[in-house]
Amino acid sequence: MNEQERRLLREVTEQLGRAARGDFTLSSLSEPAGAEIESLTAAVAKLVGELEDAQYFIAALSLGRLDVDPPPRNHLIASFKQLHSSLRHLTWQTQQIAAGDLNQRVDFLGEFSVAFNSLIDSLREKRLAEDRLRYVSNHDPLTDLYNRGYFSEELERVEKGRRFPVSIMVADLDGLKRVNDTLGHAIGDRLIQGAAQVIRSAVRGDDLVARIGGDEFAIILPETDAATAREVLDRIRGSEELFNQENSTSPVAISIGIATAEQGDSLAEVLRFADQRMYENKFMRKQTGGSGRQEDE
Amino acid sequence: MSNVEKKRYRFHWQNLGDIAEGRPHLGNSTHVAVYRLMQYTMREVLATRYGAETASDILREAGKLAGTEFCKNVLSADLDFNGFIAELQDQLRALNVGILRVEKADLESLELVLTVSEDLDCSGLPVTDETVCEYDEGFLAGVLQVYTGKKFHVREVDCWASGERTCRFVAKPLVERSL
Repeated sequence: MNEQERRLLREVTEQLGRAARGDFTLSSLSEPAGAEIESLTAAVAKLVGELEDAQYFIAALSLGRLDVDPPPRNHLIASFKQLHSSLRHLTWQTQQIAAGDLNQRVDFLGEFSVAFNSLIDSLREKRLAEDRLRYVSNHDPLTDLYNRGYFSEELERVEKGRRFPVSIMVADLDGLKRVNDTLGHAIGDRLIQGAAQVIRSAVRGDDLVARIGGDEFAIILPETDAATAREVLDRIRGSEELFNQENSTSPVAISIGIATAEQGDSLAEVLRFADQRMYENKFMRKQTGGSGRQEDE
Repeated sequence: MSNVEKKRYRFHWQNLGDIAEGRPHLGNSTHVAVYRLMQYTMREVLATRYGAETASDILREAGKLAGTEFCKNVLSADLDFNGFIAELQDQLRALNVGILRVEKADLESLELVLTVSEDLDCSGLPVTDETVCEYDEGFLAGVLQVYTGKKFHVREVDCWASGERTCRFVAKPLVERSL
């Protein structure tokens, strides 16, 4: 190695030293160099460039700037790129959680994963508790049908909607008081559950069935004219007959009234009308001693 | 698919056979090295015979066919996007293919950035400064095409073989150009 090469090597060494101290300014060699020194200079320049890119990326990462993409083909920061990727995925997962997806799990960030998953578990438990509370507040515990409060809310909502004509059915379990008084409330409860089963098995998925009183049920049938409501009633009667064949020791008898509303009608008024018809039906059934379709006419 | 493609299309999911019946003692798992032995010897023969670029294209096309059939036969394409990705993640993990993660998902433009760690194809390979997961590129393109009904261009921007620790794929719908 001659004196000129030694001088140039010192310059390259100083360049590396500056880079190690965070100064990435590249300066040209002070005099022409041979092929070997040129090659070394080019490699040092590449290394310094990669160090500068790495420093910028790592600094951004340390500030949480995940929008700064990692420099490509930079092997100095492979582990940081993996961390960057994990944090971006975690960001996406958190967005999904915020949107309601509580099935996200983290399994790539050590102790943080345990803490994060524990947080998700807590949120899931909270949601289950809220769902349960919502269910309880909207449902009748004896029959699992909707309760009166939910029915009233739904009646208002349907009235403001566009799914007319809407038919409303009011159903009343005959003779419940007598059963309660003579056979006990447990048997009476079974009758109420039987009536709920009869009605629920005969209506459509879109129809809303609620227990609105001790022995009284109401059904909202959206997009249902009088003729279609009549078909639903026939299905209930069929379901009632079948139930009574299978439960001959504790048969149910249900009086039913129907009324149909057009757009603009008050559904509360239509409900009263259906209730009135239910009592007429009950009266007819008492008069005739019948328990079936003739009294529905 | 063109008529030519239809004619040469021979693969059916049933071609994978009844593994439980055929391998009652050895089961359906094998060593990752065996899979890589097949893939990289195949790649070498293809590259020797047709050139590296064509070999990459063939692997990409095979991957796309695999992704298409995988999506049709294993995944539920009727799920919403998040559900679909979750199922894809679960399946790839259950099959020890890799750990799929989503870095970005723009549901309007359908542009995605996905990463695969512990990738079956490349994780642990010697660093050669080149990406090697063309098969995965095609696989993801096939899966996304079946799910969205749109053709996708999937490009691997980072790979274990290029010196990274996780493979990163950028997926974008192909823009159909009218004449």
